[in-house]
Amino acid sequence: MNIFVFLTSLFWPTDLALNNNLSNFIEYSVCSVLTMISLLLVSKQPKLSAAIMLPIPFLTPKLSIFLIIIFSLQLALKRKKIYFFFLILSLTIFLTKWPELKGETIFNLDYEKKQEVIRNTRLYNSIAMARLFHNKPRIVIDKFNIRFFSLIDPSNYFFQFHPREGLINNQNLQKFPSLALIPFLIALINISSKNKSALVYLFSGIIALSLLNNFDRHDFILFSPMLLLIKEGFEITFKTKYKLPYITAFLIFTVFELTRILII
Amino acid sequence: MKKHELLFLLLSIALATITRFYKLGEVPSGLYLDEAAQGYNAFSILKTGKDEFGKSFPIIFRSFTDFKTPVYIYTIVPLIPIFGLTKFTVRFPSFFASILTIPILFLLIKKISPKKISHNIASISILLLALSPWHILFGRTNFECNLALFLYLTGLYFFYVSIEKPKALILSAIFFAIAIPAYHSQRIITPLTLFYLFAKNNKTLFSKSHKKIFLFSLAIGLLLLLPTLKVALTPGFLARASGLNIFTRIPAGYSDNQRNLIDLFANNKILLLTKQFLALYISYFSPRNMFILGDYGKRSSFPELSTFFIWQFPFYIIGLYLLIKSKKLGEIKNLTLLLLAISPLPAAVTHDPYSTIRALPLVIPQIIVISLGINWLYSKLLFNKFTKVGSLAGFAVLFTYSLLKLQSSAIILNEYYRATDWNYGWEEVADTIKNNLNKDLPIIVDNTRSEPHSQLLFFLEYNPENYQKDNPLNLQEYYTNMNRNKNKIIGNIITRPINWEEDLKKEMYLIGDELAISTQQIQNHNLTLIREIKYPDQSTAFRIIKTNPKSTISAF
Repeated sequence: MNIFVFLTSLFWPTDLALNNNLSNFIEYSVCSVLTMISLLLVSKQPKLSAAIMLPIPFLTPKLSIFLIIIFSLQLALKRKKIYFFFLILSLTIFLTKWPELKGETIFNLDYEKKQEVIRNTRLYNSIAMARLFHNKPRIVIDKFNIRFFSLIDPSNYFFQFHPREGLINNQNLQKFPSLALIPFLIALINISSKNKSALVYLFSGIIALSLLNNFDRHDFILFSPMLLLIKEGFEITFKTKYKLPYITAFLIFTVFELTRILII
Repeated sequence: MKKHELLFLLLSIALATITRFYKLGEVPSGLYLDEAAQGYNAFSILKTGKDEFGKSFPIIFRSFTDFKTPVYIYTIVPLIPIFGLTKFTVRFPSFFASILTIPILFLLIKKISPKKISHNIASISILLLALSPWHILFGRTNFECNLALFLYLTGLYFFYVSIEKPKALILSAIFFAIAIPAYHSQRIITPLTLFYLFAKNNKTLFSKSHKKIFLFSLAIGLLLLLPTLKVALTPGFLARASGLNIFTRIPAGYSDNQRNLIDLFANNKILLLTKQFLALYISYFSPRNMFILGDYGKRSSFPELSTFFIWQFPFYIIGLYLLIKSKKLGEIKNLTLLLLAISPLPAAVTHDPYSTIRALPLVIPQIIVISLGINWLYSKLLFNKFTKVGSLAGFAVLFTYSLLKLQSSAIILNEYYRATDWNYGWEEVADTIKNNLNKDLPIIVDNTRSEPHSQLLFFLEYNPENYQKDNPLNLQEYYTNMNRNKNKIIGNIITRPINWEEDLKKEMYLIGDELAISTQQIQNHNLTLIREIKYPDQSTAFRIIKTNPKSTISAF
């Protein structure tokens, strides 16, 4: 099974490296590696796990929100005082990083969208109805929804956003093998104590990235929780009677897709 | 049926009627060329017993060599003497089928669900369907898929009834047999469904109580399908499938540049096509498409509204989890999983991303899934009177919001932003031709960017016999000749590209869009602007001008 996890883990880093310069690749990778280490330590050494995440906002200010969300969730779920301490710390870091972060979030309203609101409100006979559906807060809500649903779209991770690529600012990387979708869904349906932390990290990452204007490449922090879930899914799949046909199809497709990443 | 069940059913039908009947025929105000073509062919059948090309009662309608399915067109025929040849008439069958789908779905879900949840799931499902943007869009406009869905669900319902009452098999066979030629997708979905029903119930079907009726129903079904089977191998019948499928095109990501074996492997067409099919198939379950993006086509979506309301998303996730994990759902689980699996198939083999027309049957299982989620939450909130009232109030707020959202997107924004896509303006052009133009002068209607003859024929109610004579086709080649002549003769009207060198030399009318007839050309050639038709956003739709041969200045 390790060979399948290994093959799966090659996709996103390879495609990211091939499509970005070295310094950017290092920036995205370090954040992802720190997330992975934190995730692996979360149940055995929660303090160290939380502390490892602290450098992330200094490497990438955009990901300051990620820490706030993850510590808030862990505080709510595990009710350990240590998470309250790290939450305060991450809030402090966030406030210091706010000047850099300000223009990068969805709360920055662009001129075109504001004009669209004015234009659309004129089409209604009822001002109340016009204001219900066309207002400035709705611009922010719509931006959040577009990003959130892009981040939970399976096509994003397994099919490079195909057939609806080009609708969002994205490199459309091949993040995981297409057939890894099956173990991923199996893991989501069979939530256990083993993969709960991965879900928390995944959910936190999705919410945090949805608050950014452009989450592309910063979503590499989702690599480790998703990989862990896929690994869990492999374990379940390989215990079923569909093991052999799945393995055959997976290997053929994965080698094919990996070849395409490397040469095309 | 219990009183409260009847009340729920009537409420859903009332809601569905309001959302679909309100301004039916007026909104969208344009009439798309396919709608006009279906209406005119129905008119031609009524008047002459032949279609626009002179073919008697065709099995599939040639139209724009897209070979339209026949059932919808034949349902329009008896409505024309009642309502006239109007936009309302051509959209009415879709509306009516949409309304009838509500009770059929209710009865079907009640039939196959465990008694403990059948009332709740059936009631919530029909309420959701009544409000469904996906189903409403096709219930307000002329789309065959809506009628086909109703026929298919009715066939399903009568099949399940027949398990206890064998004679219902006859009705099931009739409805399934009519569903197959009713829309292209049903050519795949219905046979797969029948295969499943047969595999699951073959013991019952061949039992003493059912065998004779089953064989008789099979015979009736095949008899009804004979005309369709007769043309099944013609290029016409296969036109849509062959024109749209991904297997006849270069797969996405394919590169011609192949220098060695590795390149050959990396560009393997079978693997690329398989991946493309999987990507297209999965897209029909993507929350991004379901709740945010909707259909990419401007006529199969409303502005700022997807196929489902965004508030339904959490219930969809909960419902999916319950559907997969629950072992107490019985046949509703099997049927929902079957419909989820097969409904996207006809759409996923075409290259269009998230085509809601071709995948319309998918609305049913996805609504059932959402209903399961809503029912679960409601059952969790029933622990006291306060939470029960609170949750009902919450749903009432959501439904009210959804109704207002429909009004906003389907009526107000759709009219403003999608007028071009709905071919707005041809009714006004026809009106001007009838009332303001000299009938002795030729009229040239530019068809460089469109094929307006169907709309002109429709709004002018042009004599079909004359049209058939002036635009002949070798009827022996009706189902086989795939060549399409875009230029048509409609009395003194000819649809063809404007020829600026020749047309200005004679006295005639020219009709075209802003690109065909610019203000510069009107000035340069001293043309007379008869009428300028504008879209709701005040941009120019069409210009109707008269030439002035005596004072024409050559443009070249």
